[in-house]
Amino acid sequence: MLKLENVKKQYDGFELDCSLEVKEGCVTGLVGKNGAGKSTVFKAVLGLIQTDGGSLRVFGKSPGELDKKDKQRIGVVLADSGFSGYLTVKDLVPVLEQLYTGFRREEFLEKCKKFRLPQDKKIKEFSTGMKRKLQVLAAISHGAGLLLLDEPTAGLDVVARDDLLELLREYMETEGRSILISSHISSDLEGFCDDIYMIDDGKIILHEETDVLLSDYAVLKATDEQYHVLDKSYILRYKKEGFGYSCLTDQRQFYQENYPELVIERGNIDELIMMMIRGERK
Amino acid sequence: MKLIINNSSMQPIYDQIVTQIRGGIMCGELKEEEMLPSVRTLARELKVSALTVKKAYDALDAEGFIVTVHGKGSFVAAFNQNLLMEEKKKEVEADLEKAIRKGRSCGMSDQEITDLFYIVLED
Amino acid sequence: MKALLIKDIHLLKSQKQFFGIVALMLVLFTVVQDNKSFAIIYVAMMFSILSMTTMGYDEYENGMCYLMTLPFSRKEYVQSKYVFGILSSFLGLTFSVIFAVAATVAKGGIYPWEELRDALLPCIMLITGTLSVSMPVQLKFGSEKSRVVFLSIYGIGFVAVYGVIQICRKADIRLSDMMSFVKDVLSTPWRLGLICVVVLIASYFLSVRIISRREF
Repeated sequence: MLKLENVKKQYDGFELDCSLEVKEGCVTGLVGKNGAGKSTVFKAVLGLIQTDGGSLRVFGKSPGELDKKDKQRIGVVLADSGFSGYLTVKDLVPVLEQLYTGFRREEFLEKCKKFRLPQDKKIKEFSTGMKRKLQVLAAISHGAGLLLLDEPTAGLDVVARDDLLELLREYMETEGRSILISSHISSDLEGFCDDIYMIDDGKIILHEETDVLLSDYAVLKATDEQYHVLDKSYILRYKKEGFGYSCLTDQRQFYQENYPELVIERGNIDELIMMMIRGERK
Repeated sequence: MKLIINNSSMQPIYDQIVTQIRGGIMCGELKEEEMLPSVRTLARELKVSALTVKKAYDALDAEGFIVTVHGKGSFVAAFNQNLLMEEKKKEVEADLEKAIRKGRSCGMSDQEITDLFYIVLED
Repeated sequence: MKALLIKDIHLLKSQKQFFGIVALMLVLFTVVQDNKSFAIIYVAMMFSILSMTTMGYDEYENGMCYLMTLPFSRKEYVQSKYVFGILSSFLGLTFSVIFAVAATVAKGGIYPWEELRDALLPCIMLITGTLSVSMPVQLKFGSEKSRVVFLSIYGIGFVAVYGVIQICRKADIRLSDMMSFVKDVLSTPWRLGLICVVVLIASYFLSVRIISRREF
């Protein structure tokens, strides 16, 4: 569906150099701290910015080659941009109908009602949560095969986030759809994405299937002595701590079996990112 | 059948799914030829990634507990006496291994362990 | 493009106050003045900036980024703005002309068609000028900065015209010749129409080029 190979973009003081792929039927997550380059990736894919190098393929074409029909197969939510705030939901309906042949009017209005989005209020008067929900509802209203969601859950409270993810899960129940979703709240991605890319400072630092990340990756906490005798073949990163060392490994089972006294914590993605970014390589 | 996933457990999620479905089949809660929820539907219910569920289903298919028909879905395999027996044997083996390891770790010799085994067998 | 036009029409609903004032002024000028030209020119001028206004709304809170991801080409976006500008201007023009004629007839007079034609020519020029200049400027600089750019353009324009007049004064003869030449060119509707169309087309191509290069 979507493939980036060494896509490069230079800004003042920042350089993106990234390869990632979203396969058909998959939900791929892109996680990283603010400024790591997530939005840049989305902008490049959507043709909002030019790239300085590398190959970018959406549905097999470069972003510039996408025609109207292709664009209708894509649903977008951007982090800091949306429909003009001076429109109301009611105004949007005829616009969306004209833009997308696959627009499902009744369903869209029904869902707006379900999420209590007022039809006659200007969008600029919506709360952040409501704006986001509207964006997502619009993105999934026309049967898009590829969803590109840049931080769709940012600024939302826990309940709203859950509502949104539920919408997306329901959306994925139809075969053949794919999603690229970014967030700096990794707990959102853990229970939804099939594979996750970690990006830092414009580069992909890790790519792994989610359930491998959750089951085989772990953070070991060792005292100085324990660290000394530890077999470090499967340590990806280590970090000096007050108590000794914390180490990141992708072979949790190995350490679990061979060092039963070692404190081993199952990685949640936040900790894994911290270790990948802040830890030292062997 | 209701599956419950423990996110904070050390046991990998797909493993938990496999174990619970397998258990359901063996104790008869899941009937023969019963259709399992689709990968995506189960993923949605459990709030886990679809790939994880697929991994679990693939594992169960490989073990022979379920059959996946492309385009139709996954179904509980027809009752197979041998398979059940195999499973039970595996469980017994695991338990014995555990016991032996325990024995060794607290200093018992292999002979002592074997003797203890026969004593229990006689009971 | 239809979708974009629908959107722009809905956006104008936020301009109720603006339309109210224009309507008021129209009535005022028509009633107060005998020469209706001013009212007509005024309305045409006000309506010609509507396209620019909708662009401003598009840009609100960084909305252009998202807009450019929707299923239409950047070229289509520009097209919609020009189409909207031309349509809305002519709508305003038509409306004000009808109103002025009706008002005159109501007062019991016959409408002086000479006056009407004299008013229409500057209207067309104004509409063309506003659209042709404002579109590329706003696409390049965005709503905020373009205000400054416009002021500078008008400023430079005044200075240039003043300068030309001064030079002509110095050269003595030319001014009156030039004025009559210009009037000749402009008074023929065909010539005027042609010039306007050419200017608009040139402006359109410039706009398309600007937006194609722009990064969001």
